[in-house]
Amino acid sequence: QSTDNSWQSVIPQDWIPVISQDSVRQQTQRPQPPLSDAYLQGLPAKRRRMMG
Amino acid sequence: MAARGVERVLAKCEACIIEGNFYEAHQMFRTVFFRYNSQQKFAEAADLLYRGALILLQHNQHTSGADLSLLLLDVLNNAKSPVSDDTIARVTGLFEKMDPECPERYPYLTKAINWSRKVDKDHSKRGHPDLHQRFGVIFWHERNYAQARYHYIHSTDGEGCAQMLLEFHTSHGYPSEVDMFITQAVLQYLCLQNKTTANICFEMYTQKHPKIDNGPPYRLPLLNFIWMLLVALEGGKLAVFTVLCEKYQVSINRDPHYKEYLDQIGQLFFGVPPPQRTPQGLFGNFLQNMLGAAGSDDEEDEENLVAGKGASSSGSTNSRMASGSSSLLRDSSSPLMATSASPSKTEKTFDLD
Repeated sequence: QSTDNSWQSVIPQDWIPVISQDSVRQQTQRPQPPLSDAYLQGLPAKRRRMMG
Repeated sequence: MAARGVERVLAKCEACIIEGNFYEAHQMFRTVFFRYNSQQKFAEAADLLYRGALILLQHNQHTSGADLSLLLLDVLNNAKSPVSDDTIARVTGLFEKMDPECPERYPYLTKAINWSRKVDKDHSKRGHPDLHQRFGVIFWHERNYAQARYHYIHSTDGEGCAQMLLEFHTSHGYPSEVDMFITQAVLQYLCLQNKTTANICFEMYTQKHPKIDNGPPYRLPLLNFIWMLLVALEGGKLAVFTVLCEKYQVSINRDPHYKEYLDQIGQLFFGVPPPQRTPQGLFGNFLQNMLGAAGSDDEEDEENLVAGKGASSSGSTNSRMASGSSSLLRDSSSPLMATSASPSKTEKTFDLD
């Protein structure tokens, strides 16, 4: 991935290890399985109708 | 004093009810109500209707009870009765006693919210948060989580919302969605500019959910993103927001709607200019839906106000949906991942205040 580390100067320093670790985790993250009906019920009403 | 009049009528009606003459009692309530109403004695009329509706509902007279309940909201509306703890307790108390299946219940709900919008200038868009909170609790007790969730999002009860979401997730969601249930809620709170409630809700949910380890930082990247986002809101630096959105793109992409919420949050909290779009674009629709009642007329509001209630679509709804879906294809103009967005028109397709 990007070797540009300029982002590190922008954010609070104690976030850097968290974000770095999460970057690694996200690389191996499995694709999101289909979402449950319960979760989808949190979408705005019309949006759900459009998708349905 | 007219209150004595109310007592007298109630005594008569109670006698009717004890004898099982529900029809007669109902008609008597109505007759006296119309008399009060024509004399502009709104307080007496409201009192009579509340107590009448309550008696009838307690005797399982759902149709006549709902009829008086709806009349009560008409009176509150006409009299411009302010939203108070007492009126909220009465309005939601009747709602709680109505049969969840009775056809008057949903119109009653929207009428109640509309009353609170009309009489309370601070909440003229979405309705009074305390009223939403009570409805949220009632739906939660009925295990109608979708409705409960909708009303909690419009309340200021982040703690209640968190507990309800936790139960909703563990009972109906997938394990892989443990972080998504809270993310969805936090982002929606933020779109409604309710930062305080978003914070409380996130804290409670992450603390209490048995599947979430102590943090921050958390084991799940999406939770770290939300945690840092909530902190970043305080400083309001666009650069921080941009870094977070870039670094957590993979997690953000788990739900395609997160990006839209974040676009909106960028505009509200970090000074990101709104993207160029047609006035009826997807995003306008989307927000109006989410906000429920963004500056439209009543009829439309009733449709928008309650999520999870599918069904009806008027002509205007259809055309808005059509224009919305066409812009679904055009998704690259988002300023989310860019520090410099294209110059925006100042047009307001949605209005948050």
